[in-house]
Amino acid sequence: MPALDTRGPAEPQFWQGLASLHASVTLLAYGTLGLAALAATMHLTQIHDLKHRKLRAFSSFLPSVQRLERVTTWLVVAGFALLTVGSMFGAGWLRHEKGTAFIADPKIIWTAVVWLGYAALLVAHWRGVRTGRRFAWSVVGAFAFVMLTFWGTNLISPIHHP
Amino acid sequence: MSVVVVGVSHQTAPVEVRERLAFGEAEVASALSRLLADGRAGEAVILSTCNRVEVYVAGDAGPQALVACARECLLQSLPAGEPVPAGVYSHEGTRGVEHLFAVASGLDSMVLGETEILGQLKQAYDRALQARATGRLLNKAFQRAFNVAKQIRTETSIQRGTVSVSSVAVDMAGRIFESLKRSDVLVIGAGDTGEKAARAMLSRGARTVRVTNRSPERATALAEVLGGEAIPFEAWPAELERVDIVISSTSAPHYVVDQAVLKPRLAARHGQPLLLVDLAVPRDIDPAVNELDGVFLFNVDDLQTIADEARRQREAEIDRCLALIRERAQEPLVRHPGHLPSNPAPR
Repeated sequence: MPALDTRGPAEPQFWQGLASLHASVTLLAYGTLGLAALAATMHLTQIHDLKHRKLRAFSSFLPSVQRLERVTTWLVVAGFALLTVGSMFGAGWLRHEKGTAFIADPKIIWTAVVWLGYAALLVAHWRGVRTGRRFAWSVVGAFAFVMLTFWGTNLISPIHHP
Repeated sequence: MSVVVVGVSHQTAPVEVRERLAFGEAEVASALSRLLADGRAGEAVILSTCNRVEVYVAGDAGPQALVACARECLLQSLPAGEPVPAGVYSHEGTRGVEHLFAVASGLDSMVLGETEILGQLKQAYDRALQARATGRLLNKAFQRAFNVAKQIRTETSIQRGTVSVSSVAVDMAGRIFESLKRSDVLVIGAGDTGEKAARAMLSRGARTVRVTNRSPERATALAEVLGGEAIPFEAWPAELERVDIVISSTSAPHYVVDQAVLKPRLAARHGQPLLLVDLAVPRDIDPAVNELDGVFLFNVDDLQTIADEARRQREAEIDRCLALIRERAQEPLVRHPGHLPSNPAPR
């Protein structure tokens, strides 16, 4: 009679799971940052219409300037936190595979740049240096940079595109 | 049996006439009982607001008798022998019902499409109901009027936008701030226009109001009226670091708020938006401040343009509303053929 619970290998088998977690959490992070860019676009539209006294039906249905800035901030915070967690999963997987948490891979360097960019943006926002229109443009610009460079860095990264 | 209305409104009679004919709240019940005691009218409702005084009656007597008794009720406050003032109108049958529907929908109001009149009409009907002055016909007519008003509100754009300068300023504040309940208002200048705008902000829940004026006595007087605080005229620039809304209406011949005054204080606001409402002519606030991040400036022309646009949109809906009212007024109020409105619909 076959055993119901066969003996597995002695080594832990969660490393591939860690790679999946890295991919899914990082994807979720970029999705959240995309939503932040969408909220920032709505924020810019509302500001533009108020500054130019436009009475478009579309902008009258948008939330207030204050609320849109608050929502954008929280989405950037959530996206940044997810990106941090996703990168930590990636670093854990890399340490197991290569014995180091960081290698000079184009996509890893690119991710570090994106992470530092969002960190600087949040610090500038909380210190009052980048608020309102400037903050919204920065969020849209940062996500545009992510979108324009994501696939390119992915293609030239040996560990992400073997 | 038909519905008859006799009355005066802001469109037909000046305020001097309307105030003489107006019924106080306490007088309505006795006026209704006197009107019904006469026997000609079986049902009655009295609507008395600052813009109109109207007596609605229904009964088995002919339209002429009903108009006569409603007119006597309307003019009861005038001394005997005094001529009937100009501007008293009457509508019978379907026209009377159409008039009631138009009043309920705000089509006959001073501010086209306003909703306050619907609340006043409901109060008038409730008073008549409590005085047992209504019957089958007026109950049905008023209930349908409330229903038509709701239908017009949902199916047309007659109530879209705001049509007064103060309301537009409040609307703009609503598009900038999450809630006016956390907003502080600074009023520069103790004029009427500033007071109206400040009242509008307070009515929508603004947290505090501070008033400043070159003459401190006038600032104190207005602050007391608004339930706020008066501050010295020299102190207001510092308030720009804290307040959310500034309403300016001074008679100064030059700009009171410009980039030199505002820019150094924006850093202390940590990016919090600032709404500037300039109601003064000549203008108090330099238009260049609108270019500053987080600053939103509206002068009296901007607000008036927005209000006029909303008014034009509302006026464009009048024909649709009237068509809907005519259609609903054609429906019989009661099923019995004898109870149909007596007049044919106007074409």
